[in-house]
Amino acid sequence: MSNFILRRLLLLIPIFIGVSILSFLMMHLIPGDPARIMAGQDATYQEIQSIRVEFGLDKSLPVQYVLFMKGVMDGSLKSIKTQRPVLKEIYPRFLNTLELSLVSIVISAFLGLGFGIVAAVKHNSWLDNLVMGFSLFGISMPVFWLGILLIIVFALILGWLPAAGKGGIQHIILPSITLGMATSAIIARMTRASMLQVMNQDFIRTADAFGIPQRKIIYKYTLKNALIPVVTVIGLQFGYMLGGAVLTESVFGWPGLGRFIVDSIFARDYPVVQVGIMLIALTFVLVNLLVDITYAFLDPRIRRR
Amino acid sequence: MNDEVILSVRNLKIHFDTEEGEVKAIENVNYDLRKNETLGIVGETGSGKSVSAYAVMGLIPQPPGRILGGEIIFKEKDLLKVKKDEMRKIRGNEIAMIFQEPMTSLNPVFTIEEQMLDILRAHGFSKKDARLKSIEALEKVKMPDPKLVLKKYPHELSGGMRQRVMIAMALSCEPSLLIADEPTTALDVTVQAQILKLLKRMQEEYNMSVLLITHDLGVVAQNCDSIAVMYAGNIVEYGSAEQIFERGMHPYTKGLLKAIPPLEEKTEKLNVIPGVVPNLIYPPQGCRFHPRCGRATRGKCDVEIPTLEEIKDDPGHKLACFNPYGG
Ligand SMILES: Nc1ncnc2c1ncn2[C@@H]1O[C@H](COP(=O)(O)OP(=O)(O)OP(=O)(O)O)[C@@H](O)[C@H]1O
Ligand code: SF4
Ligand SMILES: [Mg+2]
Repeated sequence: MSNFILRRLLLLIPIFIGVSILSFLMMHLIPGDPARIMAGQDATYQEIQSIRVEFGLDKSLPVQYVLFMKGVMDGSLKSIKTQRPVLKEIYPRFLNTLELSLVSIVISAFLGLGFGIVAAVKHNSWLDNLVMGFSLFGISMPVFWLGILLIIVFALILGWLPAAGKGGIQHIILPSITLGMATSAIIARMTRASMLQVMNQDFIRTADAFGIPQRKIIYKYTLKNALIPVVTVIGLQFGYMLGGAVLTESVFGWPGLGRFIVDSIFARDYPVVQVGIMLIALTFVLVNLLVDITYAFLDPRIRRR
Repeated sequence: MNDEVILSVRNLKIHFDTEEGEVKAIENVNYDLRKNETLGIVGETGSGKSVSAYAVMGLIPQPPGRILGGEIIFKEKDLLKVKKDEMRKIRGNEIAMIFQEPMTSLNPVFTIEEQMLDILRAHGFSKKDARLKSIEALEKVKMPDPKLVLKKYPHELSGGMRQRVMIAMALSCEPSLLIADEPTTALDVTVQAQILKLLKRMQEEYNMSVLLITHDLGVVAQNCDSIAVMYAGNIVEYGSAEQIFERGMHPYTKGLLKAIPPLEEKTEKLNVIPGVVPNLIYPPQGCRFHPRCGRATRGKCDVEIPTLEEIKDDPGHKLACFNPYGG
């Protein structure tokens, strides 16, 4: 097991480098001259030229990459708009997004697993139908619509919770529900399907035949097997939240990275965009690693690979 | 052998509701199993062997299954009337079952130890006793290095070893009845013979009664005291091994006897009797075997249902047929 983790950690190094190269290349994959794009439509020749020099765009690609990475680390890569080091601009916002996504995924995982298990155990009952119906509702509801609805009810009408901004716990409740609604519905469905599938396996029949108590069959024998695909979904959904929190962040005025990246795209603040995306991608990779380790923890057959 | 009957199945009838219609899987099954006796239930695929065994274990899924009648008397209790919780205590403890598919019958994400201990703990053993018991059971089934095996996951064991583990699990609570549903079908020939020998030895050592289900009369020949021949949901002939092998009279039994392959060869499902097992949603009228039977008489076999009755001058030998061989 520790061997497995070590190997996966070593594998992170080339992946990190790959991700940083891709984020760096993004500027060059957009058609056109990066300096011109960064400078904006009505920039003068001098302005374009000075950007070209400032960002080393007159040098070869490998040199540019090294300069880019060096700039990220030592803070010499600056936001075009604010002229502050890019990492300094991004980091607090990244933490905000991480906080929102973490709270959302934890709530979603609990709700999704709980309802999924109940639906599977009470398969075909009214409870099952209720959970399935509700989850369909949760999946199909547009984020901005749900967010605005929650604001109207809980902030404007009832006045229980703030409508926007970041502060105490009360500020994160509505955005995390909004962000997590679809995810918890997806996790619930996945859990239910996976539990039902495992319940039909021979080894569950064996457990039954040996008089293992019902609770133990559900929460130990079935659940551990059923969790394997669910963990993958949770990991994917978390990655999705990191990148996809933009809408929620916009609706609730949450000062997160997603919204910041979008603003920076419009502001042509490309260093910010590059580093922001790099950070999201790296987090995604880390989450994936966490999923793989959980996987190996749940399923001994994977540990050997 | 002791004459005390420990399991008595009477007029068992089980149907399944499916999309296509009502599967009349078990129509009329009757047999007795005495203490220390091994009863073989033989029949082609789909004849209802597993379903009748699951019924004894209380493992018929309902729905789609419906138990329409009958009694399963085990130690003076009708298992069909026993409450769920009580049945759970009987399962694994007094009646144990081993299954056809050793590859998929063990939980892939828990060690053998975890699974064996859970069984024993479900039946009241302390953790420490449970551990000792499982090691003892693994030793009994001639598992090399039981302590090491306990630490293994199922995928780290071969098919034959998994089946040994299953047998050890079944024996660990010292049941008085062991149901073995085609325990060797999925294994290769040499392992098959070993497992059968092991079962036989365990039956003697633990004083168990064994219900041995198979589609292979050859397996039954070496291991069973009595034999019930099953066809399409009915027991069609029943008797001691001698009665069936020497004086088998039912046309279906005769067909099976002719199909016994040489011992060493691995057998596929029997296909020597012409025709196929009937669709149990629309089973044939009268004797369910009549479309495939060479001795069927029109107006009788396709109209009336033969009942299982004792043959006059052969006590214990029962038959359900209008025109038996030698009759
Ligand atoms: N859960 C179920 N739902 C519907 N039909 C079922 C179910 N279980 C069993 N049956 C039907 O009952 C009949 C008897 O099946 P059973 O498994 O007892 O046969 P078998 O004699 O054990 O055959 P095999 O040698 O293949 O194991 C079959 O027609 C089968 O399709
Ligand atoms: S009752 Fe008739 S059809 Fe059935 S086995 Fe006997 S002879 Fe054949
Ligand atoms: Mg079967």
